Amino acid sequence: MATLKVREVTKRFGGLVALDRVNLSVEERELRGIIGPNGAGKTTLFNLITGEFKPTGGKIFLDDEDITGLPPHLICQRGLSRTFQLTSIFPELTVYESIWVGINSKRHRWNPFTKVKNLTDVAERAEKICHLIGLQEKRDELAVNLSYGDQKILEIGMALSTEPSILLLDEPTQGVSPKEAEEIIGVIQRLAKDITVILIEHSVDVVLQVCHKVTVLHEGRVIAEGDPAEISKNEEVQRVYLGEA
Amino acid sequence: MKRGFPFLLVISLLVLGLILPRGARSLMVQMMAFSIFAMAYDISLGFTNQCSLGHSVFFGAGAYGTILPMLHWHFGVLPSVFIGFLLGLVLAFLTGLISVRLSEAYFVIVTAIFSAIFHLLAMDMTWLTGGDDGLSVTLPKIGFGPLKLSLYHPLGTYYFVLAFLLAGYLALRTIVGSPLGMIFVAIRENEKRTAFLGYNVRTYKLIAFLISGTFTALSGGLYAVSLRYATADFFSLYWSIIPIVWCLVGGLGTLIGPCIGVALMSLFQYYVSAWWTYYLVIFGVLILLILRVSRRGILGYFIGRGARGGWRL
Amino acid sequence: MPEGVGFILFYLINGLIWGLIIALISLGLSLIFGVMGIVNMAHGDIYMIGAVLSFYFVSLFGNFWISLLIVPLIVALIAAPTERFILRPFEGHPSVTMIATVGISFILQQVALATFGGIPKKISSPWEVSFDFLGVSYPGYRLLVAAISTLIIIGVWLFLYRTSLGILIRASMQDKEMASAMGINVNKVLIGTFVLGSVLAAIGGVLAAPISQVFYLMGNDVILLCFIVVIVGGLGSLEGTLIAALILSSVEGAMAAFLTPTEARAMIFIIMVAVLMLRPQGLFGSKRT
Repeated sequence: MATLKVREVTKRFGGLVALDRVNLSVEERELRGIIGPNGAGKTTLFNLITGEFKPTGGKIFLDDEDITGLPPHLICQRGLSRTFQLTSIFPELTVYESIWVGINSKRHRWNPFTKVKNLTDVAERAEKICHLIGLQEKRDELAVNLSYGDQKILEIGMALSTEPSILLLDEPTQGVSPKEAEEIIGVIQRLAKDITVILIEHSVDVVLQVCHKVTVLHEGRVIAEGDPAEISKNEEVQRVYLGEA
Repeated sequence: MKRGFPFLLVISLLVLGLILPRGARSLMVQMMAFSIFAMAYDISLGFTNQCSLGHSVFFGAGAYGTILPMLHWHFGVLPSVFIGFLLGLVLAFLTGLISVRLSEAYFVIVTAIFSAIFHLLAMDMTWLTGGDDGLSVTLPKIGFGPLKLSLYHPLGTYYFVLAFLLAGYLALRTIVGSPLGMIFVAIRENEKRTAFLGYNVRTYKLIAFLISGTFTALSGGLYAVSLRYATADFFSLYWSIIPIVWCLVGGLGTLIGPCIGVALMSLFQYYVSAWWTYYLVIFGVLILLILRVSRRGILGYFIGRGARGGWRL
Repeated sequence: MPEGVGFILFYLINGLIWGLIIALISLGLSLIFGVMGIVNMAHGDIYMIGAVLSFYFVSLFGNFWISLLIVPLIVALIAAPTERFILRPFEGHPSVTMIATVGISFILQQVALATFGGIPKKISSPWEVSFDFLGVSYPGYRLLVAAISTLIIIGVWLFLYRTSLGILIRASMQDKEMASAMGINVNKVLIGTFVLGSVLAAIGGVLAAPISQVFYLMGNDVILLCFIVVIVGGLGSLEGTLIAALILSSVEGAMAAFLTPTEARAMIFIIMVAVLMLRPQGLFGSKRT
């Protein structure tokens, strides 16, 4: 079960209305893309869903459970995980250790006795994720020493390590080389077979190529929603992007 | 640290007790008691980035929590040390509840305020603490059935404190090498990320603060036992600042590093304070220089990134 | 008028006047934190240096009022290079600045101990007039301190709201990144703020010298109250600092009428804890994520 419903969500920062009565409904195992010009409110929406801020109005449901206003760690425990636009990594932990922390989240949260090396259940899964995201060769590299592209992949790996049923990816290909972008998209497509993925992307092409359904935000409002083919033909969407480019 | 090294160290400490002359042995006893303090402080600053200035509260509480039961109720040494330990736990919990949730600057300032207030109260309540003059106590013998150990025997206090140092080190090392320790390090590296991986960061920071405060109190109790007295001065800001110096000199986040810091600074103080009254000036300059070179302290600089501490995978 | 009212009023006014001095020092502390993220543990020692220097002026020249003009200059000359060359790399990291300023505090205290000595000394009151009011005799110098402090606080306000450097300083408190992005002369703002903050503390020390004893550790007691003030008022909020300084000092002063100084201080501490439990950012502080 991995459905997300965002109902009439509004967010005001002082006088600024960042999101205005946004509605969103994402089905199980859907690969949903969210696009829109800068300042449309895409990251703010992610911030509200994952608990970083409380919405000024509206509600958010994860599998019909009201998660509005819950703190980030509780939302993550309920199966919703995210990456950040600017990578949020553990600088002095290795790739393997970073993933380990995420996997441990569902297992040995209060154990002050056992040597971490001896926790084979966590170790196995951590190795698996390292393989899944293609970083097994670099598993003992410190996160701070990785290339930017690899850090972006590590971000996804960490988000995955908590075994989410819904994964929120905030501009996973931003700032990486085209080759790295391809790798990342490949990873995302593999993931989307098993879990629900919601993708914010600035690159419209990526989204139209990969997503099942696309939502377009502009100035805090949903202006269009539909499958990639419909969206690419939508006049208002074109206008909004042409004006921006 | 290679595998044989800790073992060698333990043997050296055991042997030193027998061969050191009296003065040096006393200094060693102090250094061992302080090492527990330094490691405990490292848990707070080095492992969860909580730069507390309030640890003198726990140090003093541990000292008085140990001395008072012996003085007024004729408790034995071990139960009294345990009471000091518990008192540290309680105070760490209460001050932690108020302070841990605060932002970095507020945390630093509020813990400093705690230290200052406790010092003020301790100096004022001379009926309880003896004020600046303090309280002296005669240590009863420690009895294990027919065996009776006197801490007034030349080697008694040394091995008593050494035993606690070893136990304390093992306990802290175990915690640091456990999942809990890993979570502490994650929090230090990136609090936000840790929260978004499903951990209640505030609770873990409080736990780290609790462990830190409790073992600091143990150190205070042992120090008081070694001196056979406690004074209100144990609550002064000096005792909140000196663990920072130990950790900076030795290296944050390594557990062993702060112990090295204790050794170096204790020896330094012992010799320099003898010929220059104003040696604290050197402390000040030292602090500024070390911070300039490396914020993780000297050992941290040499080991570089990826420093060990028992939690590396 | 019954004797009792005059008695309480005396303590209240004492507290209020002391509060004005505390306000000066705390404003300096708040400015320094607000603009550069420095938790200045040596702030109380700058206050002490101000008092010690004025003691020397009185001993050497027999004139107290000169020190009010010259001590700020001396302190400014020391503060400017300290910020630029010692503290600059640490700014923005509260814990690191705290440790660094502790180092500076050690140095200042030991220098004072070596030169001034470890014995508290007194400066005689520069204005030996007294005013009788409600059956109590009130020292004229203290009223003068109140007047001077108020003038300085107004001066600081005018500086921050009417001069270009002052506006830059306030802008930097609001949003450091934006300020530097707009090409503001960061150097001028940083040095200027640190100098202003330090000078306020030093002036506080000069004004306080005839009232309390001059002692190389006198900064410790004052900095404690200033810390409580900025926590309750909200670190980085100038209005909050001012209001908290006046209220907390007055309350502490009034309580000193029937409690010991330590008990009064403990009460203030309890007020701080209460405020923190309800508002962790202080009364006027901004919520930091």
